[in-house]
Amino acid sequence: MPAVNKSQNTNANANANADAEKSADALNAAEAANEAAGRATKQVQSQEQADSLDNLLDDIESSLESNAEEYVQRFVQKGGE
Amino acid sequence: MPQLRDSGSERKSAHLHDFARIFGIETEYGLSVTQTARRVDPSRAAMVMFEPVVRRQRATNTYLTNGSRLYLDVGSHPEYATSEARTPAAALAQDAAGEAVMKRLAASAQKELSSRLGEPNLRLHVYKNNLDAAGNSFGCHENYLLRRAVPLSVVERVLIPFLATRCVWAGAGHVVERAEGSGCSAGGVTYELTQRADVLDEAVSSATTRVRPMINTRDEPHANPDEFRRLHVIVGDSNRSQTSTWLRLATTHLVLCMIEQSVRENAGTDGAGVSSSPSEISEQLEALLSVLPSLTHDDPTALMKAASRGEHDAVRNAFTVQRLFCDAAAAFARGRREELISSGSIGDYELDEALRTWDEVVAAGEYEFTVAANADDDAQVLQASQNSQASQASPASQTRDASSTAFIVNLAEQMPAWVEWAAKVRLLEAFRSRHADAEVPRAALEQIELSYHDIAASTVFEGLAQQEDAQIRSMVGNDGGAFNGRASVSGLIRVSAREVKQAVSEPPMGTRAMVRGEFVRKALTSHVEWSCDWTHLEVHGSQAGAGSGTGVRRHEVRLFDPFDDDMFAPPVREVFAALDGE
Repeated sequence: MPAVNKSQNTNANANANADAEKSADALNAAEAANEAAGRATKQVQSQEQADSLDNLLDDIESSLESNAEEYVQRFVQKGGE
Repeated sequence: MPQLRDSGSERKSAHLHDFARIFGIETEYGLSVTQTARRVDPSRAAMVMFEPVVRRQRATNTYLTNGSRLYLDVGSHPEYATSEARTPAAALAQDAAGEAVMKRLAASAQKELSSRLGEPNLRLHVYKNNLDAAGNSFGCHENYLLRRAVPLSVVERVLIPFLATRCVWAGAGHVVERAEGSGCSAGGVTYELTQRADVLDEAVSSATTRVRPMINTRDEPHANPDEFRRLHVIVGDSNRSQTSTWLRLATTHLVLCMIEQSVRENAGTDGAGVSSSPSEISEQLEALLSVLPSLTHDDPTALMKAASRGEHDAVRNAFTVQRLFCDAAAAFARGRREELISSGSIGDYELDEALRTWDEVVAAGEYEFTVAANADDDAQVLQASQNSQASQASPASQTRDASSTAFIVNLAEQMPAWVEWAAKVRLLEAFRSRHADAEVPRAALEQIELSYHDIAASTVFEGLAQQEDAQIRSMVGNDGGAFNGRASVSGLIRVSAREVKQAVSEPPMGTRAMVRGEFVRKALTSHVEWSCDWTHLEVHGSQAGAGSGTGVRRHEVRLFDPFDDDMFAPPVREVFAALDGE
């Protein structure tokens, strides 16, 4: 599941770059670099997630019964509760 | 020790003044048979599923060694009512055990039906959802033991707004037909957040009747009625997401604790050590209640329906109401942590996880209405102009369909993996985008949706859960940003296969379910006639049989205190001994 949308990533990257430039503090710069690396990893993960969702959909589509309309309409039962 | 016996002897419950609770979940399942030449009636499938129960009990109603009840309900819906649990986590394990029991019954029933009907490809589907294809509803009901001193009017005033708005994170989601030509990308369908909103009765305007569908006022405490009532919440979706089921119980429990404490403080009967000024919680609740009308417009049912349809302002208000309750509960838990934990109604880790997961999902919703909304300003302006063009050509309701569908799809991207309606929307949208070159028929989406709920003949949910686990594993420890980190540990509330196996055969700790479970376990290997229900165990009497030598004297014990797990109480021992023919 891509939990972070693209615009968020772009903004965040821009912020991370800006932070690194402004700060002379080596520690902050290192943290910003780490963060940027983390986001890059996250983008790779997003791709991986998309791929794995794709694989899941392959599995689902191959396992579905061929007549969807028939499958759905078979499920009619009296109400409960 | 049983209380309120036939003799009339009563003893005050030890839990009248603490935060102890009894939790229970009743789940009705839907049935359907496919891949056969002719339609097989669900009632026939249900009877075959329950043949093992009938063989054992001569009825479609039995109790299991874990203390839970398994039976066929109205409309041939197999139902599983969990035994009494002391914590949300324990109730969740029992609910998962119910799924496992149904799955096992379904597997053998599928074989049976297949061979009896000569249909080798026959599939028996068991749906843990709340609507069939024709819109008939069946339920997932939550039970909470509540102190009798709390007036129902207070429960309604505080709890109803909470229950009406929790669907934004607890809803199971639903695919519904949409008006033709409404111009949105989702061809022919739109999404709703909960399967329950449409079955709520909005026809009656009197307050008590209006709230009736969320809380059923049928009051069967299965405990001393002078001390306790049973709160029967019937507004929830059946969730396959275990985090959703668990969080429903945990958050409702905390809200009930706040209500009970405010009633105690107002009555000046705080039995526990008073650690705050007498009216603190009452003031907090009053402050919360004072802002609710502006958010719910004094009609929580209407708010729930609108939020379920994805109406932007309703969803925003629902998240705001959840934020108020979440923050109030967190403050309450900080002040009363020791008493909450020592009451045994929620674990130490469990309390932290509940507050954190709740806060996280509400924050995810808020994010959509703040940061993401600003970032998407341009897109929304574009969307709005498209809508206004569309509204000239089509009725307003269709425009609402289009913008609310787009909004639901956007919001789904922000939700943690365990939020069921969002997981479903993401899955179906991914399916639709794969087939973007052709119109995806509504039935295809409905088929995937139903498969998601099918505990017996489908692995769609398991596939999604595995994917989520992989995602969690890859993200843990990777970053700590307030929002980037939020998906990293969500969904970890999960009952392991080992725990499910244990919960199928063993009752939860610390309630009379232990006594009932032991009774059933002994009864199943005994030769005497027996029966039981929630508050009652009985060994039936019999005359001396020709071959058996001696008759059995009738023994009965009433278990009126749900917190009483004493298997060595003399009346209980007598009944156990009677099972052994002594």
